[in-house]
Amino acid sequence: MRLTAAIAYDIKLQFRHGFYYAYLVISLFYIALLQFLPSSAREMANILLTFTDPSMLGFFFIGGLVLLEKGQDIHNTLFVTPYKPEEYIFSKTLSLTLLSALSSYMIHVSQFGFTTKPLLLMLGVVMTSIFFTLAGMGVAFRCRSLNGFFFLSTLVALVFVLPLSDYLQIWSTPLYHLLPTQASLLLLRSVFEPIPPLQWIYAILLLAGWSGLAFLWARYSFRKFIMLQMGGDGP
Amino acid sequence: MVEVRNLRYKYPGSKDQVLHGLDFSIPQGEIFGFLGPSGAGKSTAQKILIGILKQYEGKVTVLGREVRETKPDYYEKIGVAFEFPNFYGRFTAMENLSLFRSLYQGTTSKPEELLDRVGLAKYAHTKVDNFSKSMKMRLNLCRALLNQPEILFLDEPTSGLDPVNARLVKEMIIQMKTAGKTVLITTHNMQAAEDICDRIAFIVDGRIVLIDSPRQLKVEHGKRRVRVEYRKNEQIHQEYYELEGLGTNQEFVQLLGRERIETLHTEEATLEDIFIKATGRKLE
Repeated sequence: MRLTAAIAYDIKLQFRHGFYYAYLVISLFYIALLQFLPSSAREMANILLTFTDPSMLGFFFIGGLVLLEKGQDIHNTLFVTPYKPEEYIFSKTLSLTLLSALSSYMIHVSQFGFTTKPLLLMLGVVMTSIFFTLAGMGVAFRCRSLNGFFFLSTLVALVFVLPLSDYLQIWSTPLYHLLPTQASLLLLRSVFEPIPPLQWIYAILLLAGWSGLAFLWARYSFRKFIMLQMGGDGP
Repeated sequence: MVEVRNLRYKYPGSKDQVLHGLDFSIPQGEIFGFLGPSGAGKSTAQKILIGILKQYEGKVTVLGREVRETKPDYYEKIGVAFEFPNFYGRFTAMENLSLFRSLYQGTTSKPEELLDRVGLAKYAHTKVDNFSKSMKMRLNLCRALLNQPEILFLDEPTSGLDPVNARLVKEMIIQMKTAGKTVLITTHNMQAAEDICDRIAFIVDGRIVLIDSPRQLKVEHGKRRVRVEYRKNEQIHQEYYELEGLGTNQEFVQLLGRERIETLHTEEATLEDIFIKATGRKLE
């Protein structure tokens, strides 16, 4: 199947570009950091680090990946084959999500072993990664350089990390409940503070809805900023 | 195979019309060349034919299907190679071709056989980052041929190639024609077009100004005379004779017998002359 092959080659490409080594180094750094914290702070720190892992890393790594491909003009050759833009978007998203899930699970197990039930935690990681990767892809399609991407993506990311201020008990507003990151934090925290079914259903639906929007936006950005520019001598 | 009627196009958000009503058709098994200077609209026409730009006006059918209604499976049947060959630099030639091959569902050729045909077999496991432009161009042709396309769209296929490899690529294109495939070439290389195209169309400012076989164009626009160059007293001399009645032209016949002839040429026009005459512009 084309999508399976595309995911396999994307993983191979990410491996070849050192993404797996980079994630390993970052994960080991996080593990070391957690070791130095008092056990009372370790749970909160694990949630925070697990949150930044799929969200921020996925967001920025997809930017690097897409801009690398844009720099190599690889889209010119990829999309004169039966490869569909949707398959490209899914393949990139799922391959990076796998990386996030592996590293988050590794960090979690290193601290808490196999004593917890991390199903909702991992669901949170996967869904958060999917949303942020799609959002990052939409931004990256529109940018010409890494600098441009970092500027624009920081602005976008800033909006979505606001619910952290609630988690850290700095400031809160009911509007946070509309943001996908609120749902992410809820799912991630559930590993230590179990939540009722209604809450995890709310979290899953909210993240799924935002991911759907991010997908539509990424696909629109792709058509406008990649497809119309293909083949040189553009408009 | 390709049918284009009154094709008009302007890019979204732009007021300027890029194509002003193109009309042409390409039968199966023909090598057709689109020639024109940069910005003439030939790349836009090609992008429409390969289904990238779909908001066009007029009728464009390829393999019997209106291109604006095609889906990605259209690419199962066509092969496309743009001028700039792009690959994953960290992957080897073989990995790149295997990746592209996995995107097709129909019958595909073996990458190793294609690499062998373009003289790249021994570089199959070399990373593309280490390839020269010439090697990438040949790899690009392999990629475009992977799905055994019915019709091949090539943008500047001999650009960046040394004469030996340019000939190899031209021979491969002619082999495609022999196998009944149709080839559309976009180029501003007159010589390449003349060498391999059955017909060519000159496109300028979004209009086709001339369309015919290179031979017919050269004969029609040339002078019906022959130029003879000969050496006498260490000096080169040249004479011109009308083609009409050349065999009975005593002066010409005597010259051939008397002098040491160095060159003898009919004065057909070059494609470049015809292009300049037809458009008032030069190809760059």
